[in-house]
Amino acid sequence: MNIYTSIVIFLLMVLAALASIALKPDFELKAKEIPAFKEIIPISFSGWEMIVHDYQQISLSVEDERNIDQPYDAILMETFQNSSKETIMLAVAYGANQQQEIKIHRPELCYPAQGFQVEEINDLEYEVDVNNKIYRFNLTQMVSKSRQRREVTLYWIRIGNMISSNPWKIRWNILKGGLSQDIPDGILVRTSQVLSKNLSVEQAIKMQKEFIQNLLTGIHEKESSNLTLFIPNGASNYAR
Amino acid sequence: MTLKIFKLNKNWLFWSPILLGLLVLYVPTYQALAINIWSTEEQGHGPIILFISLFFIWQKRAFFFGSYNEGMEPNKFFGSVFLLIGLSLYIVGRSQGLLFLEALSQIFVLFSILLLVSGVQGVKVFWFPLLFLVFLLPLPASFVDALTLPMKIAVSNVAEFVLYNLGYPIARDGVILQIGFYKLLVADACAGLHTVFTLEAMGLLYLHLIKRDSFARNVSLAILIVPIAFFANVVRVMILVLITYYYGDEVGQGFIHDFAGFVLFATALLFIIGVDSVIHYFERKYKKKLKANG
Repeated sequence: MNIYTSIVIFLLMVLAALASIALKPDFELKAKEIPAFKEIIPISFSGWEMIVHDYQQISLSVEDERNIDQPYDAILMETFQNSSKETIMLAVAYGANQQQEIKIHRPELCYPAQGFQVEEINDLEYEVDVNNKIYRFNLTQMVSKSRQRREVTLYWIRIGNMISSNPWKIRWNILKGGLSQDIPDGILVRTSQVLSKNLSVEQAIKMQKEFIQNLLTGIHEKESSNLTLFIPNGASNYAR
Repeated sequence: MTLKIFKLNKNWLFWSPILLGLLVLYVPTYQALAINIWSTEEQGHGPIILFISLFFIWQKRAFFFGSYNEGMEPNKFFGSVFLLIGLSLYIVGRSQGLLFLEALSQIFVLFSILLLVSGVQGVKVFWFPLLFLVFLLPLPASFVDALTLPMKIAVSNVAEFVLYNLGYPIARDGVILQIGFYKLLVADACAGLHTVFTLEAMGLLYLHLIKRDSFARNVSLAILIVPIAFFANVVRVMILVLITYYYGDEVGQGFIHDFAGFVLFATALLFIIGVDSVIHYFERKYKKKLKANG
């Protein structure tokens, strides 16, 4: 046993400890502006109008988890109604600093945490036309059921400059950002409807897809620079 | 009069920088674990695991102070490789808030130090506490959630099947069991993945303590602990359902908080000892046959 071996090991360990401190992302460094959704999202657009409704929306985070209870810096939960009295619930959640264990909760985790059972979940390709520019990204479509009701949910999560439903890709993106002192922000946009005998799964999906198109157009019309908060520029390679 | 314990000999000089380095690296890690993970119901077994690991290291303390490790051949190459891997995991995990990587790095670092000091033989001395530290790893929430739900459904399914065939008025809807007038929700803690890990840890400890010499038997039992944990959960849920059925909701809820965990571990332990004896029986028979033939 050589004393130098142990001293070299010690020095390497101290070096690692110092490196881990140096590489810790500095959250203060780039304070981001927290979006004010009340001003960003229009009260009415293309026949949809924000209404006061007593439907309880499914909370945006997973219950009984400590420290990651509230991963959001801004939240909006509203119900919209069109002229034929059909309603869609909209939930938007924003987090300025996305970290591995403190990040946006995926709806397929928050729904079961509140007594819902996910019956069906899959990705669907989506194309939206805002101001003559086509954006393509994947939406996640989920059908879930509790004892009281069945819901159809569409959602997407943007983390940094990507929209992906692959948790590993998201983790990797956050890790890359974190190591280069560039912590990505993140947003969840979720629409949902309670199914009834007048509303089938297919009808709900179709209606929500149109709703998202109208919502994004409405946001763009109100203030065009706000669109990138919801969909990254990269989603549009298809300028028309 | 000299205080023997404070005598600065070669061993102390050698080990103190390493010990100090380990403290610098991992005191913050354990702080984070204690605050974020051990306080939850599912991973409350953390401190016990740490204590058991430390105890087994303490048992082999002669390794650090005696001439116990003389004649062991250091493996400088692989030791350095694993040390660098371990420290890299630490840097990424610690700086990016990935507690899983941070805790994992500890196993690599300890492993590499043993390799650097006394090679594979040194690792063999401490294989058990090293392996046991695996149960300290905080599992990523997404991983746990993905596996817990199917397991909960399967547990409720089997419990319903058995009780139904015994003639009880039971019905199931997802993870909600209905018996008579009562509805019971099979919660995460009732059938969670964590119980499997805790039981696996307990089973390995049992195997280590009774010191079975047969490798095949250790491995097969370690694998069988997974289905054992499953059935122990089924038994627990069934007992809970029956208590609620006969004695009412209140008694059932009281039972959950006081005895359900105890029943789980008692059942599992009985299963483990039972399966172990069966394996032992067949192994002996097989060996006898070998002897008779050979």
